[in-house]
Amino acid sequence: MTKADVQGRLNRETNPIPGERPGFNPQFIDSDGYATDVTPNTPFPSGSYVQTDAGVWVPQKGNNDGAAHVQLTGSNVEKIYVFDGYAITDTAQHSGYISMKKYRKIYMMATNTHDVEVNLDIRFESGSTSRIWDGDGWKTPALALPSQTFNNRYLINTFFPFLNHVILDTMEIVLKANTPPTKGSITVIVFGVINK
Amino acid sequence: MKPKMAKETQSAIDWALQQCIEGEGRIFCVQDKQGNVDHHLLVDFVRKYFNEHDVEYNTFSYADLEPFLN
Repeated sequence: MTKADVQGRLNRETNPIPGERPGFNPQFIDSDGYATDVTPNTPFPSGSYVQTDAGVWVPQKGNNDGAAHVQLTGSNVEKIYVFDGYAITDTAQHSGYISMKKYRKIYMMATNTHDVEVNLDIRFESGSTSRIWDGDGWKTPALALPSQTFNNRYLINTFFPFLNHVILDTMEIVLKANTPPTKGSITVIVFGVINK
Repeated sequence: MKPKMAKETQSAIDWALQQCIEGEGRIFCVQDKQGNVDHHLLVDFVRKYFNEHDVEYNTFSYADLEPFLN
C-alpha cells in the first residue's frame, strides 16, 4: 500500500514484530490530504528552492529533461589594468585610478619584476594620504612589493583585508621605487565584481 | 603625458614577441600559439632589448607599445 484509505490517517507497517503495535511507515501527506508511503515510485517530495528578491522561497523550475532551469547572465567580473606592464625608471610617484562606483567587491593583484622593490600606496577618494586603523594606531595603507619573477602574483587583499569591504567612489594607487629600477615592470590588476 | 618611444621600439617588440622564460618548471612566452600577447612579459623583454642595445628610455608601459603591435 502506498496511499492511505482514510484522509489524514498515517500508514502503519504491514508486518510488525509479533505482539507489538505496528509502527508508522516512512510517508508524507500528499496534496490530496492522504498519507503516501515513500517508495521508489513515490519518493519524498523534496526539491530545490530558490529565494526571490522579496525573500520568498519558491520551488525551482526544471526543464522537461529534468535539468535545472538556469539562465546565463554573462560574467559579472571586470578586469581593470591599473598599471599594465609599467616599467618604472625613476623614484617619482606614479598614480593609477579606479572608479569604484560600479563594484561591490574588488580583488587586487600585482606582479613586480623590477629589480628593486616597489612601494604600493592606496589612497581613498584620491588626492590625500589615507590612514587605516590597525589596532595600535593609524597607519598609511602602503606595502613594499618585493622584486620577483614573472610568475609570482601578489594578492593585495591578503595584506589589506579592508579591500574586501571597501565602498568608495574612487581609489588611487600610487607606486614608488626608492631606487630607480633598471629592468622589469609592474602590473597591478583589479578584479571588480559588478553591482547588480 | 605619454613618453616618446625610441626608434628602436619596433625592433625591440619584434624580438620580444619571440621570447619565452622558464619559471618554476613552466615556460611562459610573450606570445602564445593563438597570438595572445602577455602585456607584462612584452614590456619586460622590450626593456631588456633597450638595455642590451643601449637605448635610452623613460618610464613606459604596455599602452605605449600598443601602436607598434600589428
